[in-house]
Amino acid sequence: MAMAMDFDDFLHLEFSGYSSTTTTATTPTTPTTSDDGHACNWNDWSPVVDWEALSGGQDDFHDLFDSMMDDSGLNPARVDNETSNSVSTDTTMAVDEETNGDDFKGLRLVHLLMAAAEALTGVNKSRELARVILVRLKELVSPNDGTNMERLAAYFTDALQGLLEGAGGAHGKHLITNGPYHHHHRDEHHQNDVLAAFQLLQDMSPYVKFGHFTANQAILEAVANDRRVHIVDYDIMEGIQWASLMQALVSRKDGPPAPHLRITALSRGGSGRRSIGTVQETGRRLVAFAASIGQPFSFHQCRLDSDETFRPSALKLVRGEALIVNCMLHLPHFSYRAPNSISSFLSAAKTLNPRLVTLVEEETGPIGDGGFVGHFMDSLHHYSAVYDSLEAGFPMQSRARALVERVFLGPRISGSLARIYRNRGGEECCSWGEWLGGVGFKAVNISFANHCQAKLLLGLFNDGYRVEELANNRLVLGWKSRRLLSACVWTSSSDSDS
Amino acid sequence: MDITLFTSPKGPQFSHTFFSTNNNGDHIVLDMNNNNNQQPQHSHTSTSRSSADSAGGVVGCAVEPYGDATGNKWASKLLKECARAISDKDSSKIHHLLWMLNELASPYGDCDQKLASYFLQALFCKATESGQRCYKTLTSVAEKSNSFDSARKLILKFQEVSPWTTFGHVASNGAILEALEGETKLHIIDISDTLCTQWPTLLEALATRNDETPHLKLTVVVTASIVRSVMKEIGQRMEKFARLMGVPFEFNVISGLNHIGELTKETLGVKDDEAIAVNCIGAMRRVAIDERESVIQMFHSLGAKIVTIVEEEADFTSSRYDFVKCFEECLRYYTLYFEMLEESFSATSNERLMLERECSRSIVRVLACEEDDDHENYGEKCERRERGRQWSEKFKANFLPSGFSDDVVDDVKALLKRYKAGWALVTLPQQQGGDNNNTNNHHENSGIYLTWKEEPVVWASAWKP
Repeated sequence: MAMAMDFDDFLHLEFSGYSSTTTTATTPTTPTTSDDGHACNWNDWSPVVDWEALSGGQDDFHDLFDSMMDDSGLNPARVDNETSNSVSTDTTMAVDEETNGDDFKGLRLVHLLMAAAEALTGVNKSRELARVILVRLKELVSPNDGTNMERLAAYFTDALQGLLEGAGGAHGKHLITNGPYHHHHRDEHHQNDVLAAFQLLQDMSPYVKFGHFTANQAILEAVANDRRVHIVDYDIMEGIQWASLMQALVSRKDGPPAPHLRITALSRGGSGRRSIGTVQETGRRLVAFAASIGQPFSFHQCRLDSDETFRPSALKLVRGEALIVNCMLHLPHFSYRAPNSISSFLSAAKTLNPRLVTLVEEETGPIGDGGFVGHFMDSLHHYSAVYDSLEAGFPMQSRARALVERVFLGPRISGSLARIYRNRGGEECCSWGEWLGGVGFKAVNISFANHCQAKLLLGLFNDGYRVEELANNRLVLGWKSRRLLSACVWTSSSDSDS
Repeated sequence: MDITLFTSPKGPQFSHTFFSTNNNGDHIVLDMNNNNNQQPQHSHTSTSRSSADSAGGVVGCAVEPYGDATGNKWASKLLKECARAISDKDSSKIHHLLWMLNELASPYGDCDQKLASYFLQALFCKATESGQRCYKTLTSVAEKSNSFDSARKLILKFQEVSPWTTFGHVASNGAILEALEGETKLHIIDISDTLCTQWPTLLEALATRNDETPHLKLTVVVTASIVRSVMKEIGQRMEKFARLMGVPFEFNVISGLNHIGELTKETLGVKDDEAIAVNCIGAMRRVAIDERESVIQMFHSLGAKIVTIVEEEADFTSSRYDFVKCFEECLRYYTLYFEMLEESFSATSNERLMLERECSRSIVRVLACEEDDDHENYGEKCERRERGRQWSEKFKANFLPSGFSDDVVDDVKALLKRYKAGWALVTLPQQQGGDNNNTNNHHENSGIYLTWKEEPVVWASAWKP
């Protein structure tokens, strides 16, 4: 239809200022993914891929997002004020011939997503319009093919669809414990898939290790002279954080022998991804590993209530032990769990007067008064950075990335959006770190050694990663200009550790 | 309604697959709009659509427990917002809405998408002041692809599935026959684009009258340039048919006229011994607004015994300086029309598509073209409809309302029974409740209305000097 052509030109003129990005693809060596479902490579914490610096690789959409975020409004189309009454198609804006189709499509997807978010919750909200926009989006995107933006948009579209379908009823109560319930996430991921994706994620990016190493280093420093250490772990998953801690404990050069390490892992009820069985398996694995390296160790489980609140009385505590509370909420942990669960855990932690609280969570951008749409766009920005970072590491391995996206990122996106949807119109939600500070925990300095370690870690991956010390107790991992993960360390006020 | 599932070009990624709209027309695609919960407006329908949809079993469409309060659909909301933005000259809003409409619209989708598509075109033209150019392009494209066969097929098919046009034919024929009863030399001046589909039944009626079959002269005045090319063929067929019927018959065509007002007794070949009937189907709206009264006077000067007028019931005239108001009326009317088309035709009907495209030209003409350019550039293509009441006011200056006799009304009602449910005849304007047999003083009524889902859509009237 002649109309469509005019339109593409028209819109092209609008967005001509955007320059194309070219990422030169390098050919990294093929990563070895763990075929053996159960044994993770405990001893291997350096990435197996030989990373080469990508030259000139600009992230796809960061400029775009920055420019959109800087704009006061959230209107995708910003038109210079025209003096004439009509919008002329014959503007003399120079059309950038280099603007490639991918960027243009990506931009279009972003606008559609924003329009859908607006339609769902904005001032003139219209479910019907949101539905129609989502239908359109589904035509354009796929979670397995296409560019980063297309795949990302597919997950966001799905998440919005979930909100649209579920939100008519009792405000998504059913989203609390079960996480995203949308179709292709409803299926339990095959355990092998989860492990494979987990391994890939570790190989492709520093996300997992950053959190673990920062926390572990802080723990090591905090328990330097203790004989007994008790760690209460909110979400142990495969337990690799503790494998590397144990290694560090037994290989301490000077100083006392390795302390007795006790780990209590919280386990959830039958529903959801993490059944008790897996926690038990993790425990067995850790016991075996500890034995193999000569680390005195015992493992316990603590069941959460059915609504996932934590009762500290269920913990077995031993006199004289240094109590550490470890709370990993970031990728790949499935922290879309109800805030109630996390807050009950952390509140209970306060009553236990732990030596240390280590918390790693996702870093959100400055939202201000953005409401749902603002949070939504921020989330889009966030995950776009994550996708870009993964691609930078694995430019050719799109299927591997697709697996990671499907197993970990997709559910996180849905859960994240469900959470902001539920909270919309409510008070500004703060980060858990801020919350900890607010309820009376004291900050613990991140040591110079810890900070250096983080830098070294990132150096193994890609230039695009950076670490910042945003507070004396907080390290933030970012990709390019976007902050992604925050690791912070606290102590209860009666104990102080510097 | 048939539902055809297409996988997206990238392969079936989702457990529920959706269609791919394809703007180059390769597929006729249908949206899985699940309108089960739509607030039933009296002018909207949901029967055939929703039952078919629920059979599809596709989960992707939300059944919303809380529909939009006003029952407005997304397309109408966006379109009205855009019209307002254009009227307010809110540049960035215009851009945003045009973009959004462009994303969601499709001339091959469901009603919402089609309306979005065609009205978007008009809004775009309005915003970019390119209405005239667009209209010319659309018209020339249509003219090129037109042929006798396609035009006739279109009209006949439409008449088969919907009484939209046949309503006026039956009413007018009835009034003409009654008014010219007993006359021996009839001269009917047909100002319409109906391709003479109205007249076979009249010829039959003349042939089967008890008294001697009169002589009929039919002068067809063709205004739309699209139709001129086919009139020769039509003339031949009419003459043949009249011969078969045994009706003495003469056929003339007047085309190339830019203004109906220019017609005179001489140009029409009106003779003094003839009984004149003027039959005007959908032609008054094509006359430039400021010429309408003089055209009516011209009818009067022809000495016609009966003037039958059939027009579509909408008002694009009184609001012509108020863009938003005009837009809303336009949207209201064409929403009805498109929904009627959707219900009347089968899902993959090409005729429907052609009728919709015709609408798109009118929509552009009404919303995006300046009135003042009329004379030089458009000829008789105004397209600004008026309601029956408004036409009546104008006609009353020179004529008396003739009304339709009970027999004619019965004929029309019988006609309506031949079609799907939803159609009704209403004698007084704005009356709810369907059939109204209150025609005792039919002389005072200035017309009958065809209603669809209780909305008046076509107005037919008869006038005498």
